[in-house]
Formats: sequence, structure tokens, C-alpha cells
Amino acid sequence: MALNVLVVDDSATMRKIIIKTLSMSGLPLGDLHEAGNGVEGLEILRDNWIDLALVDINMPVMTGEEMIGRIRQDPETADLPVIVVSTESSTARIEMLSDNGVGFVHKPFTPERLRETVLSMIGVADDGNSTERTIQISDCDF
Amino acid sequence: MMETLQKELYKSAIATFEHMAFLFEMPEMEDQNRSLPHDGTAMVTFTGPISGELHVASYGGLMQAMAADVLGEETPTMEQQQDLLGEVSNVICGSVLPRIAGSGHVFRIGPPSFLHPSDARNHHSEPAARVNIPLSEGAVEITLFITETQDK
Repeated sequence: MALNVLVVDDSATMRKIIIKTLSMSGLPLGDLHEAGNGVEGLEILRDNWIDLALVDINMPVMTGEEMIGRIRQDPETADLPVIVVSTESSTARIEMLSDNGVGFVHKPFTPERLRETVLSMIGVADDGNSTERTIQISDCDF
Repeated sequence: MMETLQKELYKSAIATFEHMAFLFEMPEMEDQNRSLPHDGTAMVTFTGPISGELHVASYGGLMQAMAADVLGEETPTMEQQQDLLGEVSNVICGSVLPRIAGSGHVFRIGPPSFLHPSDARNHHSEPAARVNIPLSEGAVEITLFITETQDK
């Protein structure tokens, strides 16, 4: 299952670094899209099938937090796995993101760390199996 | 105190260069690197419980080699090199601040700026910490200046 990924960061350099790290992570990658701010990111989401968004917080035009708010408000994208990739260190701010169902990876990050976070966000264990527990009929008590 | 700052600055810098730029410290090259030419310096300012600046100075063609490798460009432009060094300074700053101030604080890191060797700022204050790291493709000097601390 190849992942179509959207990378949103106002630095073209950082977007390249994230993409390079993604390619080293061993994750199955499909189409990779880039955006320089939240507005561009939302346009790409509207026009393309995206499985995962990696988003910076501090961006001009529209911040990552505003963009994530819009993503969660839209029924089409409300369940999109989103990971914030940032230098942010405030635990309060990170907890707020987590409450909004958003993952977090602190820069600098390794391919392994990125992989681990992506897999946990999309609900897949590192062995390729779903992290959702399968309930056997015999487990149920009717 | 300075020893602690220096240690945390060193750890943040090493992690950043290894994970972002795939560059590793080469202690055996320290003597060779002493007279390397200065390519330029990226700088970020930060405000919060402590405020100040972080400078990342590139020596011996480090920023060009780093940009070529990280960006996959055979001949990266000066803008690309400066941009990458700026991002490195941003990440080192974001990494070191919670290490020295604790993780519960909010810091604001400004956008990176680039100083050519001829524009080097003369800081009247002593650096809070400075580390020199010889790398496989040149050398880097990272300097932390703390200009203000908020009273608790």
C-alpha cells in the first residue's frame, strides 16, 4: 500500500530533507506533494488523494495549526493522518496537537523515528499488521 | 553552568548534523581544520524564558558539501547553501533550548539570517557557550549568546 504524502513547510530545503528522510525510512511511498504554506497545502489536499500529511507549524500565510484546524473541520479530510514536524518544544502546544489527533516528530529526526510515527498514525504495526485487535467470535459472550 | 550549556549545545549540534545532514564528527581532523577558511555564518534569534542568538559558522566548504549531499545537487547555489545552513541553525536552536531551559517553556525562534564573513557581527557580550566540531566535510563552530533571562 503506497502512501501518497503531502509535505508542508515554508522552507524548500526542509521539504527536501523530509522527503529524503521519508525515502530512507523504508515506508512504501507513492506520490509526493509539496506545499510552502497552509493555503497551498489545502489546495493540494482538495485536488489530490493524500494518505498522510507532514506539516510544519510556523509558516507564513497560514500556519500549520490553522491548516490542521481546517483539515479536521472538513468531512472529506477529517480523518487524514497528520504529523507535525517541527522544532517546537512546548509540551502544552504538543499536547494540544495530540488532542486533535495529530502526531509529532521533533527535528532533528531519524528515518526510523519518522517511520515509527507514521506507522502509529496510520494504524499499522512495524511488522505490517494492523494495530487494531481482531476479536475472535469465541471472545464474545452473547 | 557553562560546561552544562556547552555539553547540551554539543549534543544538539551532533544530533542535528548526523540526522539532518548525515555528517559525523571527525575528531582526528581537528588539527587540520584549525586554519580552514570561513564560508559564512547562519544566525537565529530566540525569545522566551531566555533570549539570545545562536550562530552556526561554516568552515572549509562545509556548507557547500552539505548542500550538495543533502539536496542532491552537484553544484548547489549560494542561496541553497545559505538556506540549508539556516535550517541547521534553526534546528540546533530548537533542540538545545528545551535541553537548557526545560521542556515546558514556549520559545519563539526567528527566521534564519546569513552573515558573510565580511559582515561578522562583533558581539560585545561573552558567548554563553561555544563548540567547535570537525566534520567529515569541513568544520563548524556553534555559538550561543544569551542576552536576557526572565525572572521567575
